[in-house]
Amino acid sequence: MLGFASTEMALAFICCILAPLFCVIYGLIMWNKGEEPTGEEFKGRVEWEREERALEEGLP
Amino acid sequence: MVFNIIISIAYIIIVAYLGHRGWKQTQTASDYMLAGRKTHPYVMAVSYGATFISTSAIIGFGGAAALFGFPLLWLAFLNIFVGVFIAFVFFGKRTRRMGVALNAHTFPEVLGGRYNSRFVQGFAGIIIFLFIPVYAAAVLIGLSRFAEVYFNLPYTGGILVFSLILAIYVILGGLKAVMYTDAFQGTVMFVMMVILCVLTYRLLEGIIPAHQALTDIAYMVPQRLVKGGHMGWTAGIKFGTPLWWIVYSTIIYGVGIGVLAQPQLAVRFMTVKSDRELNRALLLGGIFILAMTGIAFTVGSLTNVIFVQKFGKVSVAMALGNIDKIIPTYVDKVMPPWFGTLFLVGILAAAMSTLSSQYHVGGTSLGRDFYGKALGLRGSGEIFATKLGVTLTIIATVLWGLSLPPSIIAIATAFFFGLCASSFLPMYFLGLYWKGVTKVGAICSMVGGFCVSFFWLVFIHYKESKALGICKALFNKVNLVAHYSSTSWLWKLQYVDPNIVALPTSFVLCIVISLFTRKMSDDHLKVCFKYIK
Repeated sequence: MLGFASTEMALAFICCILAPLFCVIYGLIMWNKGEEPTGEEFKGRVEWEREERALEEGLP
Repeated sequence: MVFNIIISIAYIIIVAYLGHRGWKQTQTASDYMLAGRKTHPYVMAVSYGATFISTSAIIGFGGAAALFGFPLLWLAFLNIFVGVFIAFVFFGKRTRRMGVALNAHTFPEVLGGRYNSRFVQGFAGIIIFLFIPVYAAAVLIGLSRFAEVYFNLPYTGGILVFSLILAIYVILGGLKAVMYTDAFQGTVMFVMMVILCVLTYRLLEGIIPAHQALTDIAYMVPQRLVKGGHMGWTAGIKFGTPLWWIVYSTIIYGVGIGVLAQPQLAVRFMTVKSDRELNRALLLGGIFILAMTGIAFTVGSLTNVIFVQKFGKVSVAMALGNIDKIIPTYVDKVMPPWFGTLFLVGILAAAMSTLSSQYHVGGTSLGRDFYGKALGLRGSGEIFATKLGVTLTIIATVLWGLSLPPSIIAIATAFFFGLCASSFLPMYFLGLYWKGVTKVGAICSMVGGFCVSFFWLVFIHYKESKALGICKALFNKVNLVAHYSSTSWLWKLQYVDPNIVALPTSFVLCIVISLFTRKMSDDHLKVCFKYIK
């Protein structure tokens, strides 16, 4: 099958093609799902960014 | 050669400039603006992929595919399905929310914060700091092996020259604002790999004829491999043989699952602003990884048939037994000269994007997690300790690069992935989903998984036990099972990856001990899960 000597190898090849296709379909279906953080979570995010910036400043 | 050096230097300057520009933008923006800024799905997907995939995957595992054949495509499948889909959907979203809730900025900090434990953060930090140089060395070796084959640059010289270039890159600010530079580098890698794939299949006149041609030369598999269980590059490996255990337990399972507990990838999730960005990034993430590992492993396998057609020898013979040299030899002997230059830039991109994150993680693991949190020495010393951590990680990477033997890239990578999985994966995964995990359960899981993994490496696993020599010194045996009959299951244990035993042990310890020890306080759990609905 597909030039392979075993079904297992052909299956691995097919799975490698199908897996990213699955990711594409999932990405398209979920394109607008997952809301932006608001309220308290957004405040938490601002605090997180402040700390992250300080951490990056400490890098060489 | 001069042309290639000019191209390489020009490339590094462009990347450093992009990084500096990105860094300047974050400097002038307010925290509020940064928190609300959206990351383009392309940037998220490709930068994650560029951090994930390195010369280790392209040169090291590509070479392993040339030796073992198409079974490595199962690893490519896991890289996509587990390393992207499961990682983004089931780990990324919760890690992002918990990271913000705990104000955590490193992987050990998420774990330490979740279990309210300085020990957890410090232990995780020191494990990562000590062992990430082994993985970084695998990446550096890939780069140096290419230079050795393509430019005739002595291997030791390559390790030192590339380390110096990378150190300059770090000093120029290469560890800052990596998201955009990694996205650029990922694009270069993507173009290179797609061209490599097209040229290889064209040489063999199509996809199915290429596979068929490889099937037809199965009789040329070296006898040593046939005795180990190799049935042909497109036929697979005989179940239960030593080779089967090496390929399926160490390379496919160890690396395929280990990706979920990689510190340099987990921190990426915390920089994402919303679940929507992760959902959208998935669209490209899977394709990108297919173009990296899927192509590397396919081309790696097919090099056998091309080398046989052109030189009458299989790949491992062309590379004089060093599988890390197979892909570089293929590019040197078979690909057109212009592709060599593109390949050089592509693997520079692959190495720089991964090494910068490894150096970063090595530095913060020592400075922030161990020195700052576990030792409780927060303050200005923490910045110094982080810089020292980056420097020591670079030095340790060079030393490992100089001392590791040939054909080591895939093994060294699998070692680090396996160690992270057995030490961190159960407490990390269960901590994201189960409020019932206790501090004691998490500590036992992490320390237990680490100890079982190390015991197996020192006393059972054939390669490491022999190299370390501790078992020989204590018991006068290479390992504790090598003296059994070669037909017994006990003898085969030496080929079983530590992770097959250590990861389930770590999971069992986490669950069972958590059931019988004191629960985390409700107030603490409310903080951890406050943004997780």
